[in-house]
Amino acid sequence: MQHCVRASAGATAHHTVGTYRCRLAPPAGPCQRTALPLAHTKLPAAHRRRCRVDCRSTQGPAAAPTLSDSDSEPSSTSGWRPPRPPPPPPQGPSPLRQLYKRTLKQLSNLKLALAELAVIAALSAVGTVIKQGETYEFYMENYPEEGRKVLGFLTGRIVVALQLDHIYTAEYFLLLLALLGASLTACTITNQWPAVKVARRWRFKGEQASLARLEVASRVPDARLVDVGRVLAAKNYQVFMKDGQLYGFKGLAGKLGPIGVHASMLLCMAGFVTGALGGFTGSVMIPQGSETVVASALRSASPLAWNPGGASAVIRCDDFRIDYREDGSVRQFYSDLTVLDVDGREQSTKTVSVNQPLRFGGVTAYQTDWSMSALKVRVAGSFVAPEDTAFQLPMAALNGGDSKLYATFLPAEDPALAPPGTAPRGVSILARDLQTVTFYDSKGEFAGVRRLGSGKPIEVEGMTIVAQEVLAATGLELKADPGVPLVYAGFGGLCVTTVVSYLSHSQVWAAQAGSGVIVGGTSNRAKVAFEQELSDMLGEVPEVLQQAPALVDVSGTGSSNGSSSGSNSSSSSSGSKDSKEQVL
Amino acid sequence: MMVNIPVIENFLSNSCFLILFLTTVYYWLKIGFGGKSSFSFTGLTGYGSALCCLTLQLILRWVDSGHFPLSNLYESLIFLAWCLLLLYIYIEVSTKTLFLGVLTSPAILCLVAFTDFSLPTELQQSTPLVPALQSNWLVMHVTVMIASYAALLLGCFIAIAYLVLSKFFIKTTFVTAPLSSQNTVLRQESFLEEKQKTDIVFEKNDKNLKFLFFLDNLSYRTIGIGFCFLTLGILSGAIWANETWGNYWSWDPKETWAFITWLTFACYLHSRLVGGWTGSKPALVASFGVLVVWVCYLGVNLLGQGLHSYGFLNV
Repeated sequence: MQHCVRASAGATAHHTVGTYRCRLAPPAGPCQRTALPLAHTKLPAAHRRRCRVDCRSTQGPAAAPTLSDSDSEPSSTSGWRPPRPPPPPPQGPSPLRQLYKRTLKQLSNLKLALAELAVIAALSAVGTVIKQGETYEFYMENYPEEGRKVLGFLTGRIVVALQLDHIYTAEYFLLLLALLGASLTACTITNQWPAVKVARRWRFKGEQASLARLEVASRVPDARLVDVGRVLAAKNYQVFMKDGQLYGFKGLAGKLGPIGVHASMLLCMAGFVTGALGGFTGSVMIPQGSETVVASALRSASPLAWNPGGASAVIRCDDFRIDYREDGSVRQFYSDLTVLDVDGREQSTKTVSVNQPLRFGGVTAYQTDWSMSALKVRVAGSFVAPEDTAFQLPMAALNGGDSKLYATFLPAEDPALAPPGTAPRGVSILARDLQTVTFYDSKGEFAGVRRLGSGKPIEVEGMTIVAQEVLAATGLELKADPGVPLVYAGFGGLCVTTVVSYLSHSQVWAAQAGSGVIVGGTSNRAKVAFEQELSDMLGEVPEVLQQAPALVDVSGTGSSNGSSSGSNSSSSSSGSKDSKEQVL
Repeated sequence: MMVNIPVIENFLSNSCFLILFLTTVYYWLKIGFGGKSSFSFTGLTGYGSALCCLTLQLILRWVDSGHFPLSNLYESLIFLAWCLLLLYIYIEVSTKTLFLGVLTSPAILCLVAFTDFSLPTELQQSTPLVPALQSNWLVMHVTVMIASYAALLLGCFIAIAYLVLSKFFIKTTFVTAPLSSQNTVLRQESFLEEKQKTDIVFEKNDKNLKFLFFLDNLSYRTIGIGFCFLTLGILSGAIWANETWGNYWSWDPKETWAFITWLTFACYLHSRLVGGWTGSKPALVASFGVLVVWVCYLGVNLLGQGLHSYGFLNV
């Protein structure tokens, strides 16, 4: 727990150090090495170390008081002895270390972190409003230069110049994310880790003044310290008692939780960077029956990427099917894939569907797309041969609307004989899915629909056509991302530590004061619940009545009042001067 | 099936609306004219029966469509109302305050009204799942996200109530005591002399201040839970995306807005935990957070495109 609080909080102050009010007594005497007055750092244990090694003057090294000043006005300084004969030049830490410390301090500033979060949030929002990754013409068209400009000033040129069309990969955005990572690291080093070390090094609080200053403090009359300890232990506190003082804590994990959160986020970021630099990605369309070499489809993310083992493999698509429902919508896509190694030996086979990818050699293949590559038909009466012949007509995609549309063309006459510049007569065959095909004649008139595999012929342009099957191609997304294990580890850590951070780290101090016990406590999370819990617990502490105080006047015969019940309390309400125990 | 499910669903949604309407009227009358009435469970029976209606409706949809009832906008709105009701019932039972019902019952009423009466009927039909949604992650990711929205929205509503009350209704005068006002309210009998002085000043405003502080603390805790769920939801979404498309983060508008919501509430929590803010400053952040949550949940679906546009309105 930090004992130096910012000056705006209303704690009772002993002295001011910069913008901090320090509740401890100021350290005695000047630094023994440099004879400069001592300053506190934020943490009590660290400051004790530092005043031997790294003394800092309250006003800075340039403003150290001169010997003559302090000799003539010893009373004006804040309580340190006049310095010794000329001090050696301040040695302090090296400039590099000072720079490091100052940078850490700046980076771990909360206001900076909040500003970073806000700016990243705002820029991310911009990226959702302006469509990302479109062509230059798109932005010119939608953010025009003349006429009504978007927002009065936003033109396509500005959008492209500020990299708003790919804001998530823009340098300034990535720098901001890196800055956030640096802030997280700095916060962990300067604040969180030392706080844990302090929290683990508990100490008793015996002085009533320090007990009184705790967030929740109370005096329990007629009670014994050991009973308080017992009640605390029953509520899962770890209790330590010594010399009439008590310290109990619970939920130390709640102090470690936030460090874990930051560490997990840093791990995620490391995974992102690894993936962004070291990954391979690519997509490929493999027609049924064909195969492709994985490496030919992969592109590296950066020159730093290293080849995954699976890059030399070959994927063969044995079959591609679409499972349709009765209403014609797609239930699922299935691809039967086989992975072959360089020599053609089969390594593995899997039926891949949309949520079931194929993993091999560090590469993962996801089912993301499909297309039609050819249409198998049997035609009787074509110009090629009058009898029934099988053809495989290649299909091409037609761009129109959101759904897929493929078409092919079956010429009714020899295209070489057609007059140049004109299209030959023929049948256009269109297909949207793997279930039916639609026929159009040379005039573009609708001729009929046939279900694939039904065997029913159709007469168009003097030919009898039976549409048998569409040969489809499976669209696979190939990815090799070495950062994924790091990212998953970071995610898992984040899940666990976020939950753990909600545990309250509660601490309770108590001291026997006369016949009663003074109890105080603090909690870092659920403060109201802690207050309630503490008052409930104190209500459970059994009341131990003292023996009736002597009716004789105590002041002259103090020693005869030594008889007392309980552990180490004497009748205190009269506040006898002879009594050795300090009471209120 | 012998039972006509759409008819039953219609009946359930209408009765849910009616029950919530009556509950709203009850709370307003009770708080407006009831005076210092003690806590009673009447309001909770209203909430409880509305919760039962919604549960039945969700179960029926589950049985009817064969998949978990969280695949389109309508079902997610119903689920959001369900989560809000459940969370609110828990809060009312554990804190025994009637006041919050004044806020939350009209809010849930409006939500249910919008869902059942304003959404076009085509969107209300349960459609079969597209291939990408056929995964067990659907249950985990969407449930946790909707639960987080419910908790965050509730917490933000409470924070807005805090702001409204503290600015307009309760005039608090703070003495410039060396001890901060919050500590003074919290502290039990203490033995420092200053306490006696400040005690007298705060006596009059104590009850109101205590209530304000209670609201503040409740909104903090609720948003805390919501943030926890939000983290889990975003992470499960990322892992699911990686399993399906090989890309755990593609800056899809919905993903991005979930991230923005996460950042906003991270700011809120850090300002409280590390900066030590209490009272109206974090409440302002929370009221801004309400807008962010709404944009994330509805705005993106209604206005944008991307991976999350299954069966939603593509404007």
